[in-house]
Amino acid sequence: MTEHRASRASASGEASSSADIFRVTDTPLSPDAITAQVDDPGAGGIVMFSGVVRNQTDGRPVKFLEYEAHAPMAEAKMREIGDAIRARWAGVRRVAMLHRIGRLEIGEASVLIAVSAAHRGDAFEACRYAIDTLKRTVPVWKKEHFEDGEVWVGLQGG
Amino acid sequence: MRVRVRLFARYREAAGREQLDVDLPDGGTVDAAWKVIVARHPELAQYRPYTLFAVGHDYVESDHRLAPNDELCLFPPVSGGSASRRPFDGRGER
Repeated sequence: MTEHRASRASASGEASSSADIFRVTDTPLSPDAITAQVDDPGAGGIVMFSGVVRNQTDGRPVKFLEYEAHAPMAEAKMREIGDAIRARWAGVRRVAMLHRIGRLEIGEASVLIAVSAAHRGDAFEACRYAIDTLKRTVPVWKKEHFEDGEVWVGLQGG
Repeated sequence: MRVRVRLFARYREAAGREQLDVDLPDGGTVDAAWKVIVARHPELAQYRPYTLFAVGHDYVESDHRLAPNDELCLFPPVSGGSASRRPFDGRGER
């Protein structure tokens, strides 16, 4: 428990958004690393969300996934999410969002989001907002590979 | 004027290419570009209701006026993260 730190550090003012991280990468994601990246002396809580590759879709076994992005725009959209978080939750200290692209195996993380805040409520709410918004606005697509075929998710017609 | 069009994910695979250049009258809109694109790649026409357009790093509407050398991106619905919920669930293949 580190919440006792919050009241002491709140006098230090707003955390700078310049240290926030928004990145698309083709290398494996590290929950430990992203959690460390949002560490801040004014933080009393850190919430980290990890989206991982599931082994089935509607009961159909998945072999692996492929992610593709418009990387520069994806990073810009993630930064917009970070800016919106700072405007809405004053207690947020740092935000980091990473999305992996390329081939991902079952159980691997496709997206990591970490938010540190003076108090846990802001961290939970902001992290939830970040992943929900990411899935609507960040240009990333995934293709599911099955034993008997492959399909792009999100547009099943045609 | 000439505009660069980039295709992503399913659209790239359907058209068999990542990009193409289209010529439009000055002040041509995204919708005008779409008509030129589908004339050359009719296989994309079926996706019109689901397509997101972007110029630079911003989404734009179909009546957005393009400028010379703009890069117009055609996106299928996005599906970042890992959830299986599908924006167009119930449509076609399961």
